[in-house]
Amino acid sequence: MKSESHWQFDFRPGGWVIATGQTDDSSVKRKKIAFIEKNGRVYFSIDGRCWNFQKSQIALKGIGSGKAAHSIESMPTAQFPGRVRKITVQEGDRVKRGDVLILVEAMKMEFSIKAPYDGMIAKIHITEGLQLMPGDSYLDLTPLDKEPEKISR
Amino acid sequence: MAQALQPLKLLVANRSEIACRIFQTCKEMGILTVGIFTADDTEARHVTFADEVFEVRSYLDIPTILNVSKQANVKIIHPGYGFLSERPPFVKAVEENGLVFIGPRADTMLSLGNKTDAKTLAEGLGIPTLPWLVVSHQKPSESDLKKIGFPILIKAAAGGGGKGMRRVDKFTELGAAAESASAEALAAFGDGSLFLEKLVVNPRHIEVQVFGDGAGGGVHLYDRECTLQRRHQKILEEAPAPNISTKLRSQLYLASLKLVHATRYRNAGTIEFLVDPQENFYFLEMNTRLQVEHPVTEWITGLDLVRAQIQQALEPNTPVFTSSPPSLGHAIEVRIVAENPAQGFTPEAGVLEKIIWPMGHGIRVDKGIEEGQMIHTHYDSLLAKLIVHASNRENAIAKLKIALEETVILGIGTNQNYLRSLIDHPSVVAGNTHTGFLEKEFSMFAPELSPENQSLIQALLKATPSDFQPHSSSRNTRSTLSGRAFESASSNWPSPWKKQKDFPS
Repeated sequence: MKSESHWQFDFRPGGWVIATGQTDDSSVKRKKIAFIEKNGRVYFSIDGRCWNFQKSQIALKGIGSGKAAHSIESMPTAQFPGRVRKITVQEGDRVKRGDVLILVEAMKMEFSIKAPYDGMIAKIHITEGLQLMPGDSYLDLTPLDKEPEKISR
Repeated sequence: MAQALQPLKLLVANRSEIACRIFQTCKEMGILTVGIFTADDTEARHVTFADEVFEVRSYLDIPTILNVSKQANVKIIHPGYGFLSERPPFVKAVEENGLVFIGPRADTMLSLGNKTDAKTLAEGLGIPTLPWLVVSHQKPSESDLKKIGFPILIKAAAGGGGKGMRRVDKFTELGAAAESASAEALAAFGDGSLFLEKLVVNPRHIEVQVFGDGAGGGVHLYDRECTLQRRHQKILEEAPAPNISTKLRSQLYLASLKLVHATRYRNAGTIEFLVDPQENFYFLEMNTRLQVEHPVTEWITGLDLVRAQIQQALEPNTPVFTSSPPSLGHAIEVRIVAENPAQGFTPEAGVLEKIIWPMGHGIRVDKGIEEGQMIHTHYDSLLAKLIVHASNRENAIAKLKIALEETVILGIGTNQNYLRSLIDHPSVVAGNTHTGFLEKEFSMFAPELSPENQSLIQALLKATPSDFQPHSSSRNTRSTLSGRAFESASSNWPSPWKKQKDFPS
C-alpha cells in the first residue's frame, strides 16, 4: 500500500488542514498544513515553513532548491519581473563564467545576471529599458566548453 | 472660529506598512488620517485604512502632496521612512506652506542627511569615524585609495538602505563599481554623488535611537543591533544589542547625545555605528527619520514613538522626554519580504492568495498587505514586519520561532522559511554575527522538503472525500480548497457531493 493513502485530512476553520497519518512503525502523526494551488503551482505551509513547487515537480523525488540549481547565475531567462538597466556585453563577445552580462532593476534594487558558463554571446534578445516578465529570454550563450557537465553547472 | 473646531488631520506621505502604522496612532489620538497612493498601488492596504485618500503620480510628487494637503485641510505631514522622509527641500516646502513636518528641521537634515557632511560634523565632536574620501568629478587616484586602505566601500552620499553601495578590492574595479553605484543612488535618492570609505571586515551594526526636543535637549532610547543584513538591507533587528560591554554601550549613547545636542536635533532619529570585534566603534551616519525597525525600541521602552513624534511636532516648546524611560526585556523584529531566497533572492510578484498571521502574547505584526492583494515589483519588497518581545533574548528567539511558524503567506514566495532557518543558526542564537554573515555563512540556504512531507502533499493533492475525516465539514473544505484550487480538485473527484444542490460544481 502506498504511503500517501495513510493520510486523512481534517479541514479546519481558519484555512488549516490537519493531516493525520499512520507511519510505518504504526505511530500516529498529526500535522498542520495550509495550502493553495494556483496556475499549476502548489503553495503550502507544513511544519511551520512555507514552500512552493510546480505541481508536476511535487511528484518527483528529492525536490528542493538544493537540487534544482535555480541560482540566479545559472538562469538564461528572467526569473522575476524587472527592467533591463544595462547590457554589458555585445553579440559575439566571449565571456567567462561569472562575468556580468546584464543589470536588471527590480524593487529599487539592481541585480546582475552573470554568465552561467564560459561562452560566446550568440544573440541578445533584449534591449536596455525593456520591461521583463518571468520566462523572457535574455540572450543565447553558446558554450565554449561542450562538456555537458560544465554547461549544466 | 469654525476652522478651530475641525479635527486635526495628518497626511502620511508614504505607503504600505508604515502608513498603516502611523494611521493607527493617529486614530488613537483622534487625528484624522489622509493617505496617498499611486496608480500602481491601488490595492495597497493603507488605501483601505486611511480616512481619506488621494491619488498622486508618485510618492515623491511634492507639488501634488502639498495641493492635496491644502485641499483636505491637512495640518501635519508624516513622511514615514524612505521616499521624501530625508529630503530637506520637502521639509522646507511643507513648512513654507504653513504645515507641520514630523522630523528634524531642513537645515539639520541637510547637514546630517548628507553622509559626508555628517562625518565631518562627527569628527568635529570627537566621535570616531572611518577613513574616507569624497568622489568628485575627478576620479580618485590609486594612491588616494591606498591611503584609505583596501577593501573600500563605495557609498551614496544621500544614501540609505544599502542602495548605491559597492565593495572595491582593487583600483581597477573602481570605475565600473562607481558607475553602477551612482546610477542606483540617482534612481533611489535623486542624487548620484558618492564617497569612499574604509570597509571594516566583519563588523557589527549597532545603532542608537535618539529623540531631540529641537532646543538642544534630547535623550537616547537605547540601542538596536541590525547586523544581519543582505545587500545592506536589514533583515533581523533586535533591542538591546546582545553581547556588548557596558562600557561600549555608554560610549555609544554619549557619542549619540553629543550629535543630538550639537545639532539641536528635533524629533526621532537614529545614529548608526559600526563596531569591530575589538569593540572599536565608528560613526556611520544619522538617519533623520523613524526607522523601519522602530518597533523593537517601542517594545523594550513601552513607548509609542509615532505618538511621541506627533506630540513633539505639535508642541515644539515642550520636550516629550526629559530622561530615558526604563527598558524591559528583549525584542526582535524580522522583515518578511517578497523575495525568493532559494533563487538568489529574486523578487516575487503575484496575488497573495492566503495569509494567516500569528497572534498572541508578545507578538506584533506591522503589515502592509491583505489577502487577495496583488504584489507588484514597483516598490520595496517589504510585506510585513513580525516583532516579538519576551523577558530575555532566549525567550524572544523561542517566541519568534513559534510566531514565524504560524505565519502563512501563500501565493507568492517569501523569505519566511529562510527566516525560520536563520534563527536556528548557532551564531544567530549566540548573537555572534557580523554584517557579512548572511552572504558568507548563510548563503547556501537550500531547503529540502522531507520525503514524508512530500508524500503528504501529494496525498493532499489527490485527496478525495473518502480521505477526509468525517467531521471535516464541506464548508471548511470549500473555504480551504477555494477558487481555482477547489475547482480543479473537485473536478477530479467522483464526488457524491456534486449531486447535492447546495454544492457548487
